[in-house]
Amino acid sequence: MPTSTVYLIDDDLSVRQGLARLIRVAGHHVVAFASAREFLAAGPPVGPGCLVLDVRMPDVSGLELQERLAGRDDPMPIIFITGHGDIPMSVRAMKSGAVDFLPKPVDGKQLLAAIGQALARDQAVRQRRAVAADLGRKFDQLTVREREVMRGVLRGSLNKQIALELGIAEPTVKIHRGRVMEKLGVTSVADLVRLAQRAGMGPTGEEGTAGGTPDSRPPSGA
Amino acid sequence: MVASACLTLAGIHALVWWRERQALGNLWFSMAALGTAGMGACEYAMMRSSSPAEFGVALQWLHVPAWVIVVSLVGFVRVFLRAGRPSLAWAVCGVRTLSLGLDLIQSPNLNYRVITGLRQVGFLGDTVSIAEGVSNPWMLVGQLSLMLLVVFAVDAMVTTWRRGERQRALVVGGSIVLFVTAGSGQSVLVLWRLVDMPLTPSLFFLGILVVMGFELSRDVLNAGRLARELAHQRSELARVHRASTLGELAASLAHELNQPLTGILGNAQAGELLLARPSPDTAELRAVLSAVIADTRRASDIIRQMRDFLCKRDAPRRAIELNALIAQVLRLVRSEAVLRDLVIVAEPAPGLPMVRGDSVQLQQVFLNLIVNAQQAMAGMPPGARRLVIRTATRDDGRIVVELEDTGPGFDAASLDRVFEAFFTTRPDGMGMGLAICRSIIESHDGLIRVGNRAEGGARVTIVLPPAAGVRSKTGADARPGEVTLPGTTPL
Repeated sequence: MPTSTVYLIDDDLSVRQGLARLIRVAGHHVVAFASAREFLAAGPPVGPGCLVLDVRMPDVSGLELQERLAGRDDPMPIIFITGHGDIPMSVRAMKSGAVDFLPKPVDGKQLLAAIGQALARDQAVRQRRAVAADLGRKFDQLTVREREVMRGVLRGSLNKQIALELGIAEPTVKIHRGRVMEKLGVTSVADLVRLAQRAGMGPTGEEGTAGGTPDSRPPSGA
Repeated sequence: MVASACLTLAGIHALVWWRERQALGNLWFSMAALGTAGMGACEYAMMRSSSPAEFGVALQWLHVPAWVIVVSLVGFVRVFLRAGRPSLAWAVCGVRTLSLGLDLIQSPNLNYRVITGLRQVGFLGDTVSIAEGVSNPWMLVGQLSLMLLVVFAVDAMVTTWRRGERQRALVVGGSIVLFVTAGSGQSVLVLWRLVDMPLTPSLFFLGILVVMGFELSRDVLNAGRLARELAHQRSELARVHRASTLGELAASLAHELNQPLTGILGNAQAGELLLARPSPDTAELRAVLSAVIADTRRASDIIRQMRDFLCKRDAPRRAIELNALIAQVLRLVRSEAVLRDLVIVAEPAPGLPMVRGDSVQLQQVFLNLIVNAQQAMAGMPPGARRLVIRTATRDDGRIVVELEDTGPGFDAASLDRVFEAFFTTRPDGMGMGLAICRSIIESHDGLIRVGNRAEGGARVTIVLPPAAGVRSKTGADARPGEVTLPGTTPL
């Protein structure tokens, strides 16, 4: 598993130096930026990680950055820090899905705990996504007929019923069914159902969004 | 002796009046003193006279300075106490003029019908002449004028007392009443041959002069004390104003301190983790401690800056680089500006001449104007809050600082009242900000103007004279064009 990176963004030098050292000594790989603009200019982050972000910064603020990142493919978990201590801001940040909201001076233990939580969350999300992508590929390998058969199986229809619906012979259905199981790597219908769910398909086999599972997408609305 | 004292007093007060024509009190005083000197001279002539004729003439001439004194006393009371009925004043002067006239047309004089002879008596260790003769009933006219003077003085005294200036009323009024009555009494006693002594009205008038002179100098002493009190109160007011501005900066201070504190805490906790390792990295630990020390110094600098700003101690006047001073103020308000979504743009002019002044006071002016702009724009939508601070040199060499914002601007109806003390359009405002700003700018020989921009928003213009004989040190490295604050890099 690739190492996670903590991205630290704060416009104050003392804050950057102190927190970067703490995070580094705790064993994480950390990269610090003086502004959101610099972070965005450095290109999309590669690999797992999380953001430690000052809420209010000149130019692009922390919350603005959160909004911008939310539209992207793989938004990283965010931990907010602030020197202002205002509550409405913290509520808003947490509702937009932040992992935590910490006032300055930032308590090291709380920060490291939040980072741990964030990185774990990011790892889990990535894993699920990888699995879903893998599954998606597998499903793509099914032929049209095989897919139709599969949908029938997921609906709970008997082979006879499927044969009737599709206008093919029952033995043919059985063959297709076998191939579906093989290609997808499952041995029972129950496993097939679970697999379909994981791939984001509905109970009757309709496709979900390619490559996405419900919990890797951020909730809509900031 | 009397004469020389009087002449000295006269001279001094005439000089005071000359310096300040408004001080008519001093003019009247010096005339009264001159009169008394003249009177002393006549008395001396009387005392040294060797014949009745001489005595008579001397006494006759004595009435001239007497007239001068009476009129001057009336004038002094009117001007200095600002009291005393005009009708009485005219009455006194009229009767005295009448008595002078009578004195001059009669022979030998107003006081004596005829002087029969001279007698030598002892007076203050010396032998002097006094007259023997028949007293003149017309001298009552003279006495009448003195009585009227006393009445006038009492009237003025009462008015002044009622006004609250009790000490002055008592001293000036009382001395006139006392000495004039005593002097009159002496004349009557001498002229009616009830006592054997020379006429010395000048001594009594000298008494009045001494008292009045004392009152006049009390004014001067008071003026000095009042000026000091005024300066002290101004300084107090400025301090209170700074304190209330600090209330608005409290959030800024807290935020500013939290930054180095975060650095300190982070470093220290990193240090703890390092020490928990089996073989701690001492180089890294050293770095931790240096960072902690540096951040602590930074925190104390922030506190010191705030305290300096609040402290009553006004810095002495020296040459100031305005662009740097404005930049310093902007650093103070930066976090607060970010909090309120306000963009402040500084446009410092390169090669700006220096200004001679008090840096603490000038910082206060700019701080106040920025805070005003902030509050004015509080109702604007975010993204529409912008303040531009521009410096430039005018053709006449003077330095201009302009602050333009994108707020609602000044209310045109009350535009001419904005500098008034206690005038404010804010429910929570004290109304002292602009009044104090103007006071400070004017004490720097500058001027401050407010108006509205054509595009909307307010404009405050400050003009200051350049410091004489000082060349700007930053002409070469001041950056032309815009420097955007808040932000660490120009856009």
